Amino acid sequence: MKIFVCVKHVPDTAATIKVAGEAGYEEGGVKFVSNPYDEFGIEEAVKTVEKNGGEVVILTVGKAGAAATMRGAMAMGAHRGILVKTDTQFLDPALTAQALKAAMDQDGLGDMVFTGKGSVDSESFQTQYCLAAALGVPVANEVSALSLGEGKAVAEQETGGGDKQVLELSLPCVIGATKGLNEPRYPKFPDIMKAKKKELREIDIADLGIDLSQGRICLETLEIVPERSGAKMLEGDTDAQIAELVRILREDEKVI
Amino acid sequence: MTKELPSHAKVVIVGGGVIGCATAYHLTKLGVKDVVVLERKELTCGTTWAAAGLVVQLRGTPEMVRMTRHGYELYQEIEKETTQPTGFVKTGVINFATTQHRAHELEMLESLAISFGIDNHPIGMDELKARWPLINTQDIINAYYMPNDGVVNPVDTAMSMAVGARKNGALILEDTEVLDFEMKSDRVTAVVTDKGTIKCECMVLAAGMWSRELGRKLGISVPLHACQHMHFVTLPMEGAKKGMPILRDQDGCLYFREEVGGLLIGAFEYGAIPYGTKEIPSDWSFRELPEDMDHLEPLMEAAIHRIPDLAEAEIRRITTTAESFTPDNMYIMGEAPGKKKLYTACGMNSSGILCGAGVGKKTAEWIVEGYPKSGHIWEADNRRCYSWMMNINYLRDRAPETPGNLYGIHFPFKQFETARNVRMSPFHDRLKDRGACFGQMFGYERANWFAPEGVEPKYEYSFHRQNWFDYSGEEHMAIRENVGIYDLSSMSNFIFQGKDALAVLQKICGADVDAPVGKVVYTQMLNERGGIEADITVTRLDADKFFIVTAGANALRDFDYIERAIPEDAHAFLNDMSSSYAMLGVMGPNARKLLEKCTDADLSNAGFPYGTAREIAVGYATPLAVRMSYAGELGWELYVPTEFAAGMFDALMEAGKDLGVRLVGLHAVDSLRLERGFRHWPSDIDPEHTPLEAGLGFAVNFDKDDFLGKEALLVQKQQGLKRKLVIFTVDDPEPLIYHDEPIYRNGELVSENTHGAYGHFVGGSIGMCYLKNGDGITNDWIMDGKYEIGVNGKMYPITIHLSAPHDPRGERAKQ
Repeated sequence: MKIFVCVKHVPDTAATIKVAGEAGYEEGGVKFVSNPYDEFGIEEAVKTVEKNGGEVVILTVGKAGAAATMRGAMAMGAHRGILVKTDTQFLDPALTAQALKAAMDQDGLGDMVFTGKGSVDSESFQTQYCLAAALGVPVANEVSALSLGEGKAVAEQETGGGDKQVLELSLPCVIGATKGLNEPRYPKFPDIMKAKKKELREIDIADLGIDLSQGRICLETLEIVPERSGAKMLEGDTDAQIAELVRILREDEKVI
Repeated sequence: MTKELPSHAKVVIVGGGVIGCATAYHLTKLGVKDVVVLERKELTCGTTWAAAGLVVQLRGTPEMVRMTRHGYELYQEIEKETTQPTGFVKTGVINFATTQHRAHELEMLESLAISFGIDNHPIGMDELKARWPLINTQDIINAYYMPNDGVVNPVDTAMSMAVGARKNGALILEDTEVLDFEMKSDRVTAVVTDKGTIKCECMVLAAGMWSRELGRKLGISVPLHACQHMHFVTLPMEGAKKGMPILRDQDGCLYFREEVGGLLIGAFEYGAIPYGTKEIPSDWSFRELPEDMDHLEPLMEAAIHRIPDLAEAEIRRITTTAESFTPDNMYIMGEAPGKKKLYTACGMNSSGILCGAGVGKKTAEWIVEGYPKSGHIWEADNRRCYSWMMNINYLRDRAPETPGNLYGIHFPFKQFETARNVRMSPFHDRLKDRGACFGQMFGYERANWFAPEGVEPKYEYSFHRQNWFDYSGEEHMAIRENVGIYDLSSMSNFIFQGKDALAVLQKICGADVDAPVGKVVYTQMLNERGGIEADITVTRLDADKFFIVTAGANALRDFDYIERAIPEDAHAFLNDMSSSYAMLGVMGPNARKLLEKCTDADLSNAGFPYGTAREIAVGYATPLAVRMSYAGELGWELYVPTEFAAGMFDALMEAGKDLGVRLVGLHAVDSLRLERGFRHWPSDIDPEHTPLEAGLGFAVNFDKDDFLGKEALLVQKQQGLKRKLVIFTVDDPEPLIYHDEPIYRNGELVSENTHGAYGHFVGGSIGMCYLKNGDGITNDWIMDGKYEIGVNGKMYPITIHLSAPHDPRGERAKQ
């Protein structure tokens, strides 16, 4: 079996982001990681291949720095990687999907494709659908349980509120993984060292014939969510406290 | 609850890490309650949070051990007071060696631990295996166990001191970023923050790796640079048991300890990655940096080699963060030179938890008492931080060498390899051409020994006789028997002048410096307690003009000490002339003969008596010739303006040709001075010891009017001494000694060696030590004992000398 796992290179959610310019941020010193949802996909793919044989290919559309993140994914057991290089962190998901498809076409289509249910940086939750459409294969997102049969996959999909629906998809298909699908493994020292030597092919996105000017969604501005200020203790007797609270809601917060 | 920034505080501490919290805590303990700690984001969010929390008491010097011991004790007790535990667990520590040099070093550390009263005993491989079942012992030569040390939780430790400080009245403000300072002459009058301005009487800079750039704003030197620092944590693994000792694999640059059922593996590696040369982000909070796998790979390999089961362990976390390191791997503490009531407490080199409480305590004492009352800590004192050290290229190039230094083998005479050739004397290239091997002292390249033709001038380090031993011995003998020339341009010299200069010197010096023009006075600068703050010579150049010479390492400190002693309205002006003068010592029985060949000056005893100075012609140069000798032989120190230096050197070498003059390095100067019994500050004499105790009573003039320390010395004289510095020689010519080896009197541990070297003339190792006797110390009592020194676990008889082993009456310098 050949399985592609599409992994996005994203800032660690704990990182402090400093906005630079209109729609960018300072990357110096920011720790980047594999998109956490993608890790469920990596684990599932590696487990499947460990059982059935085959290979897992990490496929990333991202900046040059993504190579380090892909090494991390390979340390979890993936066999090789393909990095489609772009200069931007935020790409129209449709273009990302086109790039992913083009790379797969070039490399030879797989039997399955995993993505995360969405990325934790841009959170557009679109790429897996666009990719499935481009490939002309079925897709299930937010998959928290999966089993494979002859030429098919049975996926449990979270539909919100704790409800699930079970889908049967023919292979190949795109699976958007989420929490619950498995417990992603931690790498071991030898795996980390081995990952450094695994094949990682880099392709420029332009060389795949992707025209970035064709994007229909672009990021206009990036703003930091204002930090929540600390709790404020109201002082004085109850009446005074109420009066102060009303004043704050009316004058400072302008909500009443 | 939002707390407002007060308009004023007696003490403002900048930085809410372990050091800021510890300083606040100890200040309140000393009764200073009006203390405000300003933290940029959250307490501990800079570097404290990422610490490993190792509490290992044994360090290289007694001063450092006093600091580690304070933390060790406080972290076990503070919970009683604050209800916030530090998480201290007494796990013990194991060190082991996989190389012969390390094995030797561990043996030396056993002796050192004895001197410091720390249990550090050898253990066999069976015990090592039993305590650390996971370890691969195959290549281990020896192992030592320190059962009393342990670990704390770094954040809880800082918090516990923060709780204690708050309880005692200190105010701690988070989310308050320091932006600037308001200064008035040499004081900080207010600290400007993003929440407003707070006035203060006194300020402590405890801002970790942010301190360098804040220091620039304050106009002080805080030479530190961040490096990446990393550790790994595994998932729980079999064999990792709670309470296991900390395992230090120093040859592998690693330490291991148990963490939540798994292992935490940390590194002190060679060639660390410098970080934040330009700036450290001000929004940094518990930040992790991207890891560099190429850098981590050798560490992972070493970890698997030591703990083979790590090959199968899942790595839960790789944490790469940053921490500040200093050029000499020591902290930056004390009242900043040139400033008043401005203190630094930073540059922790990744041992801020270990020494946090100690640094906080000493800083608090500095503020309240004016000096670190619980013991001086010169090696970490900010008066060794010269302004040139703020040079960013120097810091960036040196910083990567520092982290690996902690676990490196501490060979005697070990030199830094990075950031060399910072300061060089005008003779440097001439000495290099003649085979000099240089060592660096505060950036200054000094010729330590000379390689003969055909030999590479390069240290081959070992704990035994190093490759230069015999060459240095020949240099030593050249000065004892013929004539040698050494370059001590690194010595510092000041010109102190003005109508009140004499009065200032009389106040701080033990000796009477009101001497005739041309006279050289050897004296100590004292503190109120009679302790020795500096060891200098003062030469009177004119009625109101003095030439002061001190060791190169102490220039900033001694300059600052004199500056502070000058009353505000006094007519007295101090100038550091060190960069203006180079100095050559021409020493040995044939020194006169040599000099006479290139001068017309009368160098006879009558024409140029010992202990006098005047300008003479030497070749085309006109140096100030000072007839003194640290080597204890006939000779002159020639202080020459730098542009005349090279010419003077050539003239002297030419004149000395027929005599067989030899260039002499500083290792020989050290062994020469030890044979002659001359003291060295701070090895043998320091602020905690008086001239009377140090056997320098001859340099104190009690007939002089009031001077600093006079009263204390009179009391000491009256009550009789309880400790005294003596010189000793090791009877067996084989062992080499360096410092802090334990000394026994009648089989009982009584002291430690202050500093030792091999005396090539007397044919054995020489050292000094303070002998103590609560009932009073007399020469009879001293000579009554049978003495031994412990070297690498072996006892060697020593002979105590009440005066110098060589030329006890000092006649040779006066011949």
